[in-house]
Amino acid sequence: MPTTLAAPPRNRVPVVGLAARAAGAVGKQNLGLLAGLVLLLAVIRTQTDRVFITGNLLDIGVAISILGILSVAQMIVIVSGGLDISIGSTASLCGVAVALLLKHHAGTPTAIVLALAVGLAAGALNGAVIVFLRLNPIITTLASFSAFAGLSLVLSHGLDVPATSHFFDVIATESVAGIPYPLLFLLLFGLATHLMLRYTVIGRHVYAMGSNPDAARNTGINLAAYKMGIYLFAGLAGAIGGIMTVARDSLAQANTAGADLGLTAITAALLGGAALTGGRGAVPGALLGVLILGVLDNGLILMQIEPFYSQIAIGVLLVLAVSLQQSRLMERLGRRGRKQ
Amino acid sequence: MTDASLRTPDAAADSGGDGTPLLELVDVGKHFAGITAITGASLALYPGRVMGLVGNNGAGKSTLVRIVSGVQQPDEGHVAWQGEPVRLRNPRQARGLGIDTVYQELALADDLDATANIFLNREISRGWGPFRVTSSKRMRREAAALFEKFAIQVPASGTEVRQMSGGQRQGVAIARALLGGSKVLLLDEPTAALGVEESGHVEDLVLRLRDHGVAILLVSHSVDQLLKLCDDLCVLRRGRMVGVYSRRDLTGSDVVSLIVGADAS
Ligand SMILES: Nc1ncnc2c1ncn2[C@@H]1O[C@H](COP(=O)(O)OP(=O)(O)O)[C@@H](O)[C@H]1O
Ligand SMILES: [Mg+2]
Repeated sequence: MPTTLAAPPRNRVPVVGLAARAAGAVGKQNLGLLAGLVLLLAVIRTQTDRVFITGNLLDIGVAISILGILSVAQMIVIVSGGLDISIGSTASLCGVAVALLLKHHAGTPTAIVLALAVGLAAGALNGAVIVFLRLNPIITTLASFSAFAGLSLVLSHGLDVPATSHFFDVIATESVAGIPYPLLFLLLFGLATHLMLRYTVIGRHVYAMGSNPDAARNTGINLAAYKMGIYLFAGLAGAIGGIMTVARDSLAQANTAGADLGLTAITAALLGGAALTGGRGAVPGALLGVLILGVLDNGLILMQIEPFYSQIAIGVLLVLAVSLQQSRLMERLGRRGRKQ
Repeated sequence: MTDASLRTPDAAADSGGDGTPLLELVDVGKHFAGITAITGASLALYPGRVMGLVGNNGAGKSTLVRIVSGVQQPDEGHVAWQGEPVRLRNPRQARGLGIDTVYQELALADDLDATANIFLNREISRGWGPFRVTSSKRMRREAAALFEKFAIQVPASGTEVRQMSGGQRQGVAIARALLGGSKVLLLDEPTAALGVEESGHVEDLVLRLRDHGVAILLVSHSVDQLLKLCDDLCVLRRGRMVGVYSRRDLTGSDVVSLIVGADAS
């Protein structure tokens, strides 16, 4: 066999395709996002020279860290062909849980572990309903979105729950090698997820099940187990996000902030190229999506424009980005770089 | 037309095989709530031979394919694998024996490349449990070797199968079955959705599979295609088997009149 392989039929990248090759390294679908980000930064730079100050860049990093973790998890759910609308409510619920536990004198490690368990339980509930009752993920997580939000209001009596913990203070204020803790968590979470999706058998199966569930099932992949795992993962990410929110604010709020955060996480994942039809999406894209939202928010603040405008801008951006991704342009770009 | 004279393993005698078919259907039948989907079907598949399966809509072709692939169980007659009677309870069991069905829509994940598709859920990997890491290079090499062996013209990696032509996709789906060690391939109208040129590629591939000793059951509506590819032809009409004929004894008009029945013209 090896002898016949002296000249394997592989893709020859033409000399003129060097640019396309470079694009391949970034991920062709990320080029548009990168261009958008650069454009956005350039526009903001014309209005203020404070964008590129290290302190400000780190501020952006911290500001997007919680959203980033939720978006990366959401992206995986979307790649698998599902959707988790409840992830923001899960974050609220776990935030309230950790704050209440601390308030009742649980140790910080205990409080964190139990809050993570609450997130896993929330994910298990979503997964069980989707797998065993065969309910559509949108309906399932729309229901749990409401139920988890309600539960966090019930548990907190609708009031803010103050939470003090030395560990949380450290996370909120300190850095490792110049990188603030929340940003560090996002980078580690993103990296681990990226490696998992890109290099492991599990990652490949997640793409396959989103791309063509029948084909995946036909090869013997246990879709039920994968779905369960995916919603557990989303629940865990929701818990991490909720705990980080409490660490940042020193209190848990069972208000609509969690819901907003969850929906913005979906926005960022879609902005980053995840396709609701499943099978498409990746960590770098999701992080770029989050970064664009973060820079937009930050820029409006620096330019002293009312932050309400950012919500309008996000809506416009989402429609622009997704219509661009759907256009044949991207497909053709991809093909040109890959002709045999 | 009487069915006895031309029936069955006539063809087997001069098959060039050693006499024992890989897979044999003996008087197989299947009924649904009073409807006879197929009855009295007997045919034998040999390594390196192509058996055509032809008949009008509702003749029972798909039912027969589903029986051979383990999707449905016959309620008359039996199936034999290498001379031994077997019950094919499900597709996985059939696949375990080496019987694989190529359904294009079922077989491929559009967002993965050819290598990822043919290795799906049998990835070459290192490590353990959730940390099993795919050995992409090895899989790519083996996929490329397989494509080369059967002259399947597809890029092994870097191109999503979504971007491939219908013929290329069919090639990937077939390669997936071959990688699994299939000895019998069931092709249910493999060129139905393809243009002339693409169909030609798939037909060439069927011939190469035959040359490599694969036993093939080919469902097709195209008489030309059947005459071009088949060694034997099994004709069904309204749920009954008309007979199995050697390709050499048939002209195109013979095939047509067998399909529609003598009384139809
Ligand atoms: N699951 C089923 N339930 C009821 N009738 C069926 C079923 N499958 C096939 N049939 C009937 O059996 C006959 C043969 O069908 P089929 O095998 O699909 O024929 P072909 O593939 O040659 O068109 C048809 O009359 C069809 O309506
Ligand atoms: Mg049919």
